[in-house]
Amino acid sequence: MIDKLVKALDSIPIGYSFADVRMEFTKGTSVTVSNGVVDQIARGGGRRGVIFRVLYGGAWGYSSTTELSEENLRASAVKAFEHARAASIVAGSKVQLSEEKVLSLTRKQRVSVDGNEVDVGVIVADTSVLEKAARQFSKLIKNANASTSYGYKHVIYLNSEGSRMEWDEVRTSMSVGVVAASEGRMQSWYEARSGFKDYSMFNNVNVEALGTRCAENCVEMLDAVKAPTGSFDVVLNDEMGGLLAHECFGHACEGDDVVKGRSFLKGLLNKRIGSECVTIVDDGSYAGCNGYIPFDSEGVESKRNVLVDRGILVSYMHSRETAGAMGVSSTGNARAQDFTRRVYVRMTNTFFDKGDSTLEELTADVKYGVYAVKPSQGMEDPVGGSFHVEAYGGWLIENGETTKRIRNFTLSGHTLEILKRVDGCSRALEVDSGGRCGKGDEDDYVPVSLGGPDLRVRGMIVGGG
Amino acid sequence: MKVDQLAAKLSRLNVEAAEVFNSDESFMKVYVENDRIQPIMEVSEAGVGVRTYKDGKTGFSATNNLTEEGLERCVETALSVMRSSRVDEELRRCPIPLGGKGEEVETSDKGFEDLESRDLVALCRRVVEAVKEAVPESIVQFGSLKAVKTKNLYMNTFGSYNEGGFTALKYNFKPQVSSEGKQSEGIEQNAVCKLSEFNPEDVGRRAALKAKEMLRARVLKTLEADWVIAPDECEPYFYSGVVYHALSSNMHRKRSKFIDKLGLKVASEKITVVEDPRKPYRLGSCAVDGEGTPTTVKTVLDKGVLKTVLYNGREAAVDNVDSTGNHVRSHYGSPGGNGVHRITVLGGDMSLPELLQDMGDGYMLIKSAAAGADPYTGAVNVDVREAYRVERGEVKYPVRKGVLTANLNEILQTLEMTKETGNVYGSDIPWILAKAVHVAAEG
Repeated sequence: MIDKLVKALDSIPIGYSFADVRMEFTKGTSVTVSNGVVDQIARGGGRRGVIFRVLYGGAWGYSSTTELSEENLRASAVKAFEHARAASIVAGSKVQLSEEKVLSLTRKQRVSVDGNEVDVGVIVADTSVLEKAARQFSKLIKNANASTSYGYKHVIYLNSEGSRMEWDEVRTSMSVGVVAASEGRMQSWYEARSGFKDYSMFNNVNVEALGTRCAENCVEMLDAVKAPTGSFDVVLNDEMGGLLAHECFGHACEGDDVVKGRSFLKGLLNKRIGSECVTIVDDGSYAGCNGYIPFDSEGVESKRNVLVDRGILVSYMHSRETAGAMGVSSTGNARAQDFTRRVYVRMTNTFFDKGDSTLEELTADVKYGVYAVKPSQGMEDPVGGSFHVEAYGGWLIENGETTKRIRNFTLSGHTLEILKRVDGCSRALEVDSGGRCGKGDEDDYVPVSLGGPDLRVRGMIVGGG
Repeated sequence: MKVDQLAAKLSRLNVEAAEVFNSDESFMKVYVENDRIQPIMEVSEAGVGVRTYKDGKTGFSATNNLTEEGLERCVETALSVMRSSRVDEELRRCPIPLGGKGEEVETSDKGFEDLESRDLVALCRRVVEAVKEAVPESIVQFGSLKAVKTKNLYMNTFGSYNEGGFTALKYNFKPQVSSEGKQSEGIEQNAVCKLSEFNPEDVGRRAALKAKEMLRARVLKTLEADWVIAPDECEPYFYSGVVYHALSSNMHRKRSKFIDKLGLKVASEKITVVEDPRKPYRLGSCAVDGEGTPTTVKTVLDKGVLKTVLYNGREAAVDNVDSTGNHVRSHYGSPGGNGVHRITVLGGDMSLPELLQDMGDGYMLIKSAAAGADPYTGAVNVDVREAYRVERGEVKYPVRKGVLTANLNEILQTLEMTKETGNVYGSDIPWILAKAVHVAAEG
């Protein structure tokens, strides 16, 4: 196949400044068990495809195909060239790529338990343990829904500079969601674990405890009260802190929005944007985390990038295009959902770095506030600088003690104000859950992780619906 | 092996039922970044999903390797999954419906047939020019136009055979305006099935004027007020608050609020919700659903009374009734599930100006950060991005920065609606008036 891809790249007419091709083969297995019934069960028969990118006259053209004959691959490569040439006629300023090392590397993943080879009946049984633990916790649990998925991806990357890479990506995730009802009220909760791990992850997680904890939280939430509305001190647990790092800061730090002038962080490099407690990292090389990638979608090796160092903005995240525009090197953050989508600057594992407090110390110093614990969703506003993150629930903090449970609420504010109000992070750093982050007009999804230390913010807008 | 040969192979398998869903999608997409029209992208992918059923067990596999070897492997994998799966004790009969011949509904615009990337580029240029004409100092920082052509083919071992597909033009433009250190963005996004329904000048002008208008927005204060909410924003309310609970899958899994409520009032008598996949040239419309059952128009909620439970094959097999054609499948790679295709919400009798007059003093929400509501608790917590102050029924000035917090269950019991609706990604949704909504803000 590599020979066919090389020939296809060679068939691109002269005049282009850069070209690359990425071939992906993916295969996955997924099982969902709901209230004791196998709701969905699927094992992929294999999905494969190729995407060519050509840079001509400072403009990009893309072409993707799933028909992998030599003739068709050549035609697809030429089509990418033609699109680039057409775009170069109407595009204004020109794309220039950063210079990166030419690499020739293979990074195979050691897999001890291949989820695509495990009998599906075993995966059904494993998933059922999780589902049953949650469902049988209480009669108030009306629905328990557990899912397991295993995905394998093999990538071949070649470019016109001579780079030639092959690597594997292996991810496993398990999640359980429950719905509880009592006296006309309903509540939901979920727990999830995911990582860049093979199916042996199942052996290293106490699945029953995960299911029980999910149900216990949900039942407790039935008696939760409405969250207060207004501006309060907020303590966020590891997952909520991860969501804050991602939504409040991460998207605005993506180089494409900075270059376009669509980020409130533009022009703030080497300036203070947060308190001394704030160090934010994006680390694509964080082994085992869901957002781990050996290389990004441009063949640049992933690494730990400190974005904010004790309150000072020290780096943006970059692809080769945005790095070229700003005269720096790529940070290995160019990612594409798959072979049908374009490359954007994306996060990987983004989190506040640990501090020196404990959770107890962080809450002890709050007279009246909230402790937020379970992320629901979040959204950034890179232009206006505001954000919102939503929690399934949490606790009210009164005189340093967590008291009543509170249900769904939103935290919002202006990032540059909020980061200055962070006055403590815990020493515990947990980055063991994850999900997918969407970007662009169609929400191109890539796997990312969620986590960090517990942290405290002095004054955020809290709204409970 | 061709896909129809695959169907022949399935019919010879030792199973009670099997089906093939084949989708063939291609799209061209043109982006705009800081007024630059690039990149240009072209993508095509075809694949099949195979589902098999025997002795209470279901198997599924999918591939885009359409060679004989690839398809053979796909069928073998589906059978292997089926053999290893667990018996679905809830089923009272085969979950793969007999299907039938769906009556055609027009969802593909001939205008897409000869569409080339240069045509999309020309449309993009017209949007950008309209933005510039309306607000010369604005910059189109992000924009995209995507022309999609999809063809589907569904067959099963009962003889059901249907071909379908749709065309769509999806657009998303975000011009930005800056002044005195402030920036604001105007957003126009939606999807239409017919090229002629896309007016680049309108889209560009509206987005640019929104961006300019929001520059003078005043900061919201913490308050309680009535809000008129735009169709794009309240569309999820009807899905989370009504349609989600009318799905038989959610009833069977005991996560619906409408269990045992058929024929009973579950929302305001002002709300009528119709599931209508038969409306021509609307996103979501289709002749058959994702498992070959012909689609029909169904009233889900009639003046607040639950009239129809929505079934796909599996859920219909549990209750031993017929599928209502509510199996939704967007891609060959997924077996899909119980869902709705598109909805029309009816019931209001006022125009938008009349609704604003009815409200008197309040606010009008056009765009939030992430519209939505929790289907279980009914919590609505949205960050306001584009909104306006309304005084005595007149729109006065833009406002921003605040979290609108409300409860969907209360909204659905007390709302008022307009008779006019907006096309929100294929669904027809009115403007609504929600009363006594809290806003959390720093101001």
